[in-house]
Amino acid sequence: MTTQTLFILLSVLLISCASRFVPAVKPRQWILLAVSYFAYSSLAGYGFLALLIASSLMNYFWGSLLRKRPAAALLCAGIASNVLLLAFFKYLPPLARMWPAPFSELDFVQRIVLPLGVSFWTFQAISYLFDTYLEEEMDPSLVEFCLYMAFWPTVVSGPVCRLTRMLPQFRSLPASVREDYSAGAVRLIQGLFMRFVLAELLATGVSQGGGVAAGFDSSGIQRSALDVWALAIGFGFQLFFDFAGYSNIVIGAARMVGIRLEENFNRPYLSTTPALFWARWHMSLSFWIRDYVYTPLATLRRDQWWRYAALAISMVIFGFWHDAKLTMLLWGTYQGLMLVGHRLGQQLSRRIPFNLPNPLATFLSWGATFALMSLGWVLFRANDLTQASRLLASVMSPSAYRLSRITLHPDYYFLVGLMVAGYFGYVGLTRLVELWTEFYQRELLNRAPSGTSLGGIALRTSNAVAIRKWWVLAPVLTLMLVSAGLGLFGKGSSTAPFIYMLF
Amino acid sequence: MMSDVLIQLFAEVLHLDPSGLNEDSSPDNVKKWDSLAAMDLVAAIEEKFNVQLSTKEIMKMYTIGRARKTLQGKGVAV
Repeated sequence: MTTQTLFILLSVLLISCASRFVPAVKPRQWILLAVSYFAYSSLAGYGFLALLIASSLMNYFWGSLLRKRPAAALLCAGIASNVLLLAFFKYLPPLARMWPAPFSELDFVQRIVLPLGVSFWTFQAISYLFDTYLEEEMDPSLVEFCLYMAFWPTVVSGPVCRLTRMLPQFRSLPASVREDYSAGAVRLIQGLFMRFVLAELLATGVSQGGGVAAGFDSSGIQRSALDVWALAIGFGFQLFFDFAGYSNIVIGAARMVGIRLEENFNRPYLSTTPALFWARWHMSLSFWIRDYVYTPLATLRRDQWWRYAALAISMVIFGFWHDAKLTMLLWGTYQGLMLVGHRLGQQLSRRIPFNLPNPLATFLSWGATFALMSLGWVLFRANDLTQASRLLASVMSPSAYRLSRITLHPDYYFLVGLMVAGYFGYVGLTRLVELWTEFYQRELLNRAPSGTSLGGIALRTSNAVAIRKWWVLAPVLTLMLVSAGLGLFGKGSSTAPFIYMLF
Repeated sequence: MMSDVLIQLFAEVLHLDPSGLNEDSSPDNVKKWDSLAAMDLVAAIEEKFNVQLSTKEIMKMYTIGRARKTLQGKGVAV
């Protein structure tokens, strides 16, 4: 992110926040659409803005046809046009490179650049077509639909929204301005901290060459098994802080504008099964895959094996969406097999008349899920299949677990340990605070809080800090955190791009 | 009560207590209602009520309430 981009986004945020005071819905929609197009053209250029508008018009047209006649053939045609558009930009260049000359050397193919956010706004378009086909109640105007496609906080990397949830919000004037500013600012600051401090720190490390990037990108080093585990866990947390941080920024910014978006992450590393992990990690896309890829596919046959096959195929598609690389296909297959394997294991365990004590079973289940998900990140992050096989072979080799074979800098182990402990400590602490707040809210419902009672103090403090005062600090803290992020890692005016922007 | 038949069926397939389910229960708020369980539910509904559900109908059955509406639309008294 450059300082110029930062300035543009802050201006867009300020104008969007100010639009909350426009007392009519339609002018507000026009303002939000205008700033969204301005933001997108500033980040992606006028050419890609034209493509986004063309896609919006095309999908509005398909939607109008589907509203008149919700036929499967029309839906398929609409989906095909979107998939072709996405495939042209996303898959033609890598696939062409695999072809023999002269196809691989065609000038126009080499000049194809992936439009910013094309996957995310195409997914939103497809969900709109599906929901229209399913005769969900929605009748967006052209402006509303274009705003849904281009809404500036989400246009680059989601969360993937659904029009059924966005439309009522576009059509109402948000009332709780102060609360929205406060809650939105807190999320925004959390996100900035996660993305520009924690994720950046894991990527680059505390010392030269001491981060995840160097760990994966240094060639010719035979990593020990402990190194691979540390790299896998470190990358998993880097990806989490990067993308969950990004999602927090987006959700916080949208909230300040008066739009409540779906959550994208929900304590994923506490998941005790792979199925739960995918219900908590990149939730908006995971649910999109479930609703618009898996379900239509799974309903084609009623056999049990087909349900498993449909799930595995959906996860392979999910992997392939990230990148047209063999490692991503394998990552998707691995996730699919893990989900199916977990279900088969569940069915088997119901037939065995032996149960472990509940806390132990939960802990073991959590440990297995965490370890298997972390190993999967090796496939996700490896530069190629050769590297992935070498790293995974190391994990499987008992002799590679010797401490003497460690090649990563001790700083890296310290950093990853600190991040993991920090994450679980923070998650535990927030849960305690939640329980504490719930307890006092229940208590306070039953009796009026007195001036000096603990409950009264708790309520007043919570109101004062969380609702009335927090947002005042937001602009200052935002600038401080971004400046720290930009300067802390010696990169002058730029940091690494958001990982999911690459998809 | 006839309406309990559907909730009972959902509870049975999802291995849950029927008292924890209601018309608004959906994959969003029921932890065990995952992708595979959703298709187990479809198979169980088709078998129990002797109906054939289309892809469109299945995609619309996002909550127990919506499943009930779909079945009622097919003439099943639930």
